[in-house]
Amino acid sequence: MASGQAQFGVDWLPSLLAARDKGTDLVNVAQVFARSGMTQLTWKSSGINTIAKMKGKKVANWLGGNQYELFAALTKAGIDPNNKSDVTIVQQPFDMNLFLQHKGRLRVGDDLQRARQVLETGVKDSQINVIKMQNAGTGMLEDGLFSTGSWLSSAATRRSRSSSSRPRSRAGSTAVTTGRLRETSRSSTGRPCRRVIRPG
Amino acid sequence: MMNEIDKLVWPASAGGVGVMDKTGFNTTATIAKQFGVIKKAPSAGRVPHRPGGEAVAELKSAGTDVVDSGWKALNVKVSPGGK
Repeated sequence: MASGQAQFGVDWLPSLLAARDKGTDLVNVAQVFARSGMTQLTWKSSGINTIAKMKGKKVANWLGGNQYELFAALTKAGIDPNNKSDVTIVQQPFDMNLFLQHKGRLRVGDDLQRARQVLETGVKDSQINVIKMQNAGTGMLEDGLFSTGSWLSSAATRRSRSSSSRPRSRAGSTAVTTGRLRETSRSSTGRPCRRVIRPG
Repeated sequence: MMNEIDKLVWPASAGGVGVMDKTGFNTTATIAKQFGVIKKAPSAGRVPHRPGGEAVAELKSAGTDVVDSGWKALNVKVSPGGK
């Protein structure tokens, strides 16, 4: 995005706000998700059924801008996410294997991952606790499309200059090539995978 | 999987799908400020979003329901291996 190679990306709103707070000229152009879906999963056998009980545990998160809801919830419960003696934050790939292998006590995910990646392996709903950031009081808006203020301004200029014989979709025809794009797709095995592509 | 994604999108905010909901935006900004994600609250005059109002207006005029207020998730039973 910043290098101008991409015109649009997908980001979670708090991450976009953080970038703007640092002076980056990103502009949300469409808020696709209307509500927070961020969910923390725990094994019921762990006894961890609240955010507060995550103290001293390993908690996984995708990070990279997707951690803000969880970190806010931890902070709210008196746990400093940046203090290793309070909690160990583990970066997790966009799959649930760490959770399934019991390598950590806790995994973050969202409902679609619970459904597709945990329950589909045969784990029963009765075996897991589902802790929603929305219920923890720190749910924030997630996936939205964004662009840069400068590109939007120049696109608006191009559009106003173009005559009626030229379709105005011209300005929007540039393909997304890179940027903080997160996409949901399925691999050949039918398993969902989510990727983050970041600019260099 | 799409059923789960759908739950996050529908029903859309009152302004239509893709249009930033003011309440949702303000809640997000407040929480972000409270927990140090941002240092200063986004100023009212410079809200960092541009509602996709134009596109939604076009859809509306074409008779498309852009909110789907009666939307209900499917009741999907998830089974091992997706079978």
